[in-house]
Amino acid sequence: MQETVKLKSVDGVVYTVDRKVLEQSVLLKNMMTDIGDDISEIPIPNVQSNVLRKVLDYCEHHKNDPLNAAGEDSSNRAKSNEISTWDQKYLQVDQEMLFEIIMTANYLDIKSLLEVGTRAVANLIKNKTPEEIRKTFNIVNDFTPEEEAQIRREHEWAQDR
Amino acid sequence: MKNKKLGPKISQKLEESSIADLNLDDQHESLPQDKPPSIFEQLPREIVINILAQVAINWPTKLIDVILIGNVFRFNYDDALFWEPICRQLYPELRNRSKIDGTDSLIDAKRYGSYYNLFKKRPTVRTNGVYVCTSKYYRDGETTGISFYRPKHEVRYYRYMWLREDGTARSLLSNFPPKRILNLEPGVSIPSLKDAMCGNWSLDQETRVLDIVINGTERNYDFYFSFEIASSGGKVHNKLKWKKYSCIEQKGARLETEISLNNEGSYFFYRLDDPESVFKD
Repeated sequence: MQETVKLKSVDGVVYTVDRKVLEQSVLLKNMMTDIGDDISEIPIPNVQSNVLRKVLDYCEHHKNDPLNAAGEDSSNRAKSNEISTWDQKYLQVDQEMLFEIIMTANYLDIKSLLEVGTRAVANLIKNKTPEEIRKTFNIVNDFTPEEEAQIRREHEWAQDR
Repeated sequence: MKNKKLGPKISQKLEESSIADLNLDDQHESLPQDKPPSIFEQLPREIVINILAQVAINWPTKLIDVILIGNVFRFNYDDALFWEPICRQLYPELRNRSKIDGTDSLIDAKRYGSYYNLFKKRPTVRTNGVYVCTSKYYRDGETTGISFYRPKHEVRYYRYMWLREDGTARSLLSNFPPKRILNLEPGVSIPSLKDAMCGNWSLDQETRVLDIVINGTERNYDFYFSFEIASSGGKVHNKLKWKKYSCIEQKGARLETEISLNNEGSYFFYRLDDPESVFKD
């Protein structure tokens, strides 16, 4: 079995990557299992080379993490809002790149990266006022007072004091 | 077509100022500029909901503020995409069971049917805060002046119970109200609470009964609390309804003496960022 596999980004850049690194992605792992040795190059549509490189950096760093390997239960990490020092540094990118990473992690089914990315966005949100969030992300407040009241009722559980 | 109502002169003037005279450039400038769509509108729905679930897990009191930012954050209140990560965090014992069963689902379909129902109905102990019980009784005061009647004094005291994830418990009886003890009033110093007693708790999922044993000082007595976990005021599992309160002698015959619950109200949950600080030594 080949030790490495080539990945081709949408803009035509080819990366040669260890199989073990790619197994972080459930999608790629399944493809490699199904196709076997016949696999020469996997096209990754819609992912630009700079984003793909960044995602591969993550997979390389976490290739030996036991829980990440098959995208299994990541709930042990779900509670903590802590992000490891390496991951924090990794996610110090502009907003556009952060969302590109999240969308690629979702497409390639890399659960741990998706989780750490969404948590980073949640962190970003919680430090801003609602008005700041609307301004930052171009969101319009389009709720009617009735809808607002309904949402407050639906999520009353979240308010304990 | 002539406008008969306006008269010939006026209608003629209106026709002369035709569409050709309109300055389109000026009109365009007065239109609001189109904003690019929000990145959240371009994200797949499951990612947006995942972000909201992260907010709910880590900063629940921020959740409503975030959802109310705009419709882009709205989701069906019982969406499994939202509730599954929350339930996975909340019920570690179910995570282990689902692995043994070979299923990846925490849901006991016959009993709960959905993650939302699991969250709403399965009793759980809240460990990220403190349960507070307000107790009161009345005592007679002294008569003053020419009054025939003795005044009544209402005496209030508070019970604080912190249930930790590891099954241990800390209990405190104090006349300081929650605002002071839980430091809900900014700038008010927290009294020293070295006297909180230690113990253990256990929860029976079937009967919803929570048993807590608190070791008395000097270990001469253990205090036994029994509660039913309930929900109140739209919140979930935030109330402990008394079932029984007794003390058990630790030496000799281990006699159990039941204590009256006449003065005791139910315990209600207060979420805290740092419960440890309330019971610090």
